Amino acid sequence: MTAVLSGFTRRGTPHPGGTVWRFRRNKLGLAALSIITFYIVVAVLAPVITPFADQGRGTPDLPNRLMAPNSTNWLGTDDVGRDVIARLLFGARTALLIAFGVVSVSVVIGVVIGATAGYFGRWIDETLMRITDMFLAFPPLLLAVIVAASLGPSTRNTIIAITVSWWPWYARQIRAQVLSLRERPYVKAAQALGVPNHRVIGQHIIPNAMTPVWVQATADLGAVILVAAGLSFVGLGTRPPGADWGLMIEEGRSFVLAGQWWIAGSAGAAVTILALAFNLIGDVVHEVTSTKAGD
Amino acid sequence: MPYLVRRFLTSLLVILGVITITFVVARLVPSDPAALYAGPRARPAQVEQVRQDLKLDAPIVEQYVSYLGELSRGDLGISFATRQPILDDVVDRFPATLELALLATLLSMVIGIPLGVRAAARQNKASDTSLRLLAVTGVSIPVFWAALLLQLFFASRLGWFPLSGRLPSDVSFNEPTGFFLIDSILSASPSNVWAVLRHLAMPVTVMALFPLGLTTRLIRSSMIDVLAEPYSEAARLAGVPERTVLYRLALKNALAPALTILGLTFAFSVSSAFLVEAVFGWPGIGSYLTSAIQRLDFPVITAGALVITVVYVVVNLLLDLLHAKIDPRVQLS
Amino acid sequence: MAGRESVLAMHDLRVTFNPPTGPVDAIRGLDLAIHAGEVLGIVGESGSGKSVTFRSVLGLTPPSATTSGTITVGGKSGTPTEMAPEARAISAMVYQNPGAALNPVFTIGQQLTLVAQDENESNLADLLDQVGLPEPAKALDSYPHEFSGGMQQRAVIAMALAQRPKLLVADEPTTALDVTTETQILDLLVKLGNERQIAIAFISHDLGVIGKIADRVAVMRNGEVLETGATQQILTNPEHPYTQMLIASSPGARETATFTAADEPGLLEIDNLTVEYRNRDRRAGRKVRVIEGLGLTVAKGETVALVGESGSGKSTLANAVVGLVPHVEGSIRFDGQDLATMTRAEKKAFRSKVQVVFQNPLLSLSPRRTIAWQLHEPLRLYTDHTKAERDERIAELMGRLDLDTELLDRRPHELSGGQAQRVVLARALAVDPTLIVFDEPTSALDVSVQVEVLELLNELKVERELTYLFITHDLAVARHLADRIAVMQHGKIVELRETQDLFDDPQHPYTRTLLASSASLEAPAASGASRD
Repeated sequence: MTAVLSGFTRRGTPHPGGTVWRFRRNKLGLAALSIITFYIVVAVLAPVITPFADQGRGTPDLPNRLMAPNSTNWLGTDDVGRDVIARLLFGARTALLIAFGVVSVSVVIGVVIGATAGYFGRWIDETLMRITDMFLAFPPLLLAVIVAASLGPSTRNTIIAITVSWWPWYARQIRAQVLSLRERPYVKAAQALGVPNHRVIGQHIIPNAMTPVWVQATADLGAVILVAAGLSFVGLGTRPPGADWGLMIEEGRSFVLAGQWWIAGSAGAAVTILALAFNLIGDVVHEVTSTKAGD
Repeated sequence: MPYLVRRFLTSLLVILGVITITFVVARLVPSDPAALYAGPRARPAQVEQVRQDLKLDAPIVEQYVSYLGELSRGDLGISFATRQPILDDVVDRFPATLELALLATLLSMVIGIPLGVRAAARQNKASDTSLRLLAVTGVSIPVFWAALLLQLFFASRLGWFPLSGRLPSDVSFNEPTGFFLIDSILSASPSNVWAVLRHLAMPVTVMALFPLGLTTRLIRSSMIDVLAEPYSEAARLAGVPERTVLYRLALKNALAPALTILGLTFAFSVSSAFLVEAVFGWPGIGSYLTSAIQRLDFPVITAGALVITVVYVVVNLLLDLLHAKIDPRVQLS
Repeated sequence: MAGRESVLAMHDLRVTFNPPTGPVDAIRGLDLAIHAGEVLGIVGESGSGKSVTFRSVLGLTPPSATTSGTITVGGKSGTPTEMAPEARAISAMVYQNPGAALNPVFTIGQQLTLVAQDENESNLADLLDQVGLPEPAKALDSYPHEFSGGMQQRAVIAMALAQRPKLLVADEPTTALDVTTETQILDLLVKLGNERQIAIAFISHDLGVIGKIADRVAVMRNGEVLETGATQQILTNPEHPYTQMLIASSPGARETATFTAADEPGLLEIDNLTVEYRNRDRRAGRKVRVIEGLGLTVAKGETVALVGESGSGKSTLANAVVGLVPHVEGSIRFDGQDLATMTRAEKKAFRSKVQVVFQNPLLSLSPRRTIAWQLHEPLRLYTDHTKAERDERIAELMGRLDLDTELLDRRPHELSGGQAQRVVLARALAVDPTLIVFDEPTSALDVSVQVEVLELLNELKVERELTYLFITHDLAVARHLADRIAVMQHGKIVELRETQDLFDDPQHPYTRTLLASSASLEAPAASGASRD
């Protein structure tokens, strides 16, 4: 995250008026950051936190099926008797793994393709961008759906499927950045100095092109979580007995109308709150990096 | 080359690319399509027969060419599951989805644009903050979960709206357009219109949530940019009333980028259709896809995705042309 | 003067901005009055508060800013907040960037109609005619992007006039325009001010421009007015030391450089050079010739200035000379070697021998790297020095350029413009070049800093036996440095002379236009300058 926010002074304290400093003064942003930190901590510590770690991993406990929230199972149990909280905690692992996996792989692909296209221009740019446009032509969820359908449902394939439909956005964004940075005097100066191309791209252009990409990536984490939940909801994501919130909503769906709301209800709330936190962070980071201090 | 022609040709190229990508993805299928088609109890010889019938043993390039040929004749292939031509099913079900998507897009625009303008005009005040929170929530709720919640409260508990479906079983009328809202109005029976509206209410609301949040946020941010431009300041300074500055002068500038969003909005409605229709048992192309996914009916999955994408490309083309009309600078770039 | 009625008067005006980092006093107790029909020039360097003054009076400062003082408009007085509506009612503004001051999606006619106080269609066309827009009827139906910068500024002035103002606030209205257009716009403002008895507050950083248009001048620094007075008096007999410094450091007032060209064969020989750009809209592969058949020889030890307006192709030439832009015809030879036929190794040597310094020093440094990193880079590329040797070399360079070695750990945004330009110079000098190409190296700097940098360039040239190709739009700057001046127009050199000769006896008509429109402090024109 620190790479995003270049608002530190040399001594490592936030620069007054800088991005970090302004972020710290934003209550919404801080609230969202604490929610995300909370999710990450409970996901990492899941086996330690819950006494039902086995159930969280998928072991059924049939005698206790569909128990309403009570003192042992605070959020009740699901249709095969697993503790809902344990399932939620392990589901957080899946969700965060998918979100960070998709976004980081997509950013890497996007940087390579976008920077190449933007820096070299001409036919290289034309070719790479036409291909990118074709991927962008699919409505967001749809390409992921057909890729996931042909690869078969699993958590790993979910990451691949969403990545396939996600990288073009970064490629386009980075290309636009590189196109404008390419004409900057400091890049021209480096070229005039005889700095080799790969160093101009790597040392002078990409470090300066990344800020908006990180902003976008932060905001995208929320969107990826929603898409992943959607995929597993229609049976294209994580397979039972794996823990996944979208899957929990699907499994709990038929019981909702019968009054057993806690399975789908809590999983949906878990998705919404995490997505909300990521979206808020994205918003705040965008605001903090795009406005100037003292305005 | 005139802008219009150039834009049209790019769209054709993009559609060819989309077809190619779906074709390639469909060939990634780890399982044997011929075996799937022949069914679980087929003997190897039968599978082999199917393979030849479907030309699945031909070289990949040949398959690609014949696939293109079939598509150009409007042949989308045959469903593994129903053995019916996919095109018939798609034509049958498409209006139902389009009706949902268009109404959801319309709803999100009608509410989202004024909300965004208002938020921008009162930047950083309390009402702006709460509007933003609301908008962010809209883009953070999984649509299928929101659908379940609505079903639980407004159908199951309160009984205000029907739980699922497009029409009650005892209501029917002529369907010349396939859009039931229009058809019911044409049938000149208020009770028909009422029945259609009651069924549309929940799916449309759910599908509009995400685009509504998106529209509000984007209109807000582009309005803020436009209002900071010297020309907005100059207009205010010249004593042009605030309403005119906001809704006439600034909004037209802010709408140009928002048109791109209209395309995205529509795309999100269409893709969320496939989650929402599954929950509401809506007989559209979305639920057609969902059931195909469950049956691993690959021709239907790829054909369905293809049709939706082509519609999306066409919508984007139309929006770009509209954009060029609003913003006189576009045709030059 | 004191007896005349004032359109707008400010007394003890104070403006404080309140960013989250803590309050900043932008205007500290300012007194200023502007009288009917006069042109008041407000001059100051960036950050002096010259724009904020009027923006606060018009209520255009952010809501978080606090203001105090007394504003008098039309006989009524009150606090700035109370009087803002009154001030707005009598004022109109002309902005620095005319392109941004016009709404891009409405025609000029639509925009005029909205702001005009009871004017009908034919009056609007009249108005456009008065501001000198050709074909006013057609202009009404045009969109802003169809106009050139100068025409856009005329449209903005028309919008301002349509409001029937008593006071026109012109905030750097000609800074974004080229010299020829600048003169026309200045003449137009003076003419309209006289005809319609409009008072003009003319805000500028450029004493030369102020000298040409203003009746009175107010000099500002740090949110205060240092002195006011008649233009002639301020320019010839300034009282405040800061004003004296401003005038003294304005390049035009300086003596001509006295370096003589060494009689040696050309170090840089440009012959029949043609450079093309591919047109942005790919209509049938049209190409634009930016430079056409240009020839120029720069002798060793010489400074040649290349002067031209924006769009004359002079920056393209800079890029072509250092090999960043390919040429389609002709040749560029450096030290006898053709740039186009150099081997990889020769090219590498060339890259160290020829350095380039661009316009904006802050943008010429990689934003995220420390100054030390940026200075090490050329040395890493061209020498086998160890880290310690490089450090030593950098320390020596920093010392020569009066840069504190503390700056080494900083990043570019923590430097001032002057410091950054010295760092850029240090980077160029690190590899011992023989030729340095400057592309408007001082135009982004404040006047006082400009002169320091130019002095430094002169010293370095002698010390290190450098050759300069100096590209600028500013004849005054060229005069300060150059042995010879080449005047460039439409991608060609139209006149190439010894500096003094060019100033004494310009031959080409375009050179004469440039000289006439160039800001000159030696002979401030009367405010009623006639149109050419």
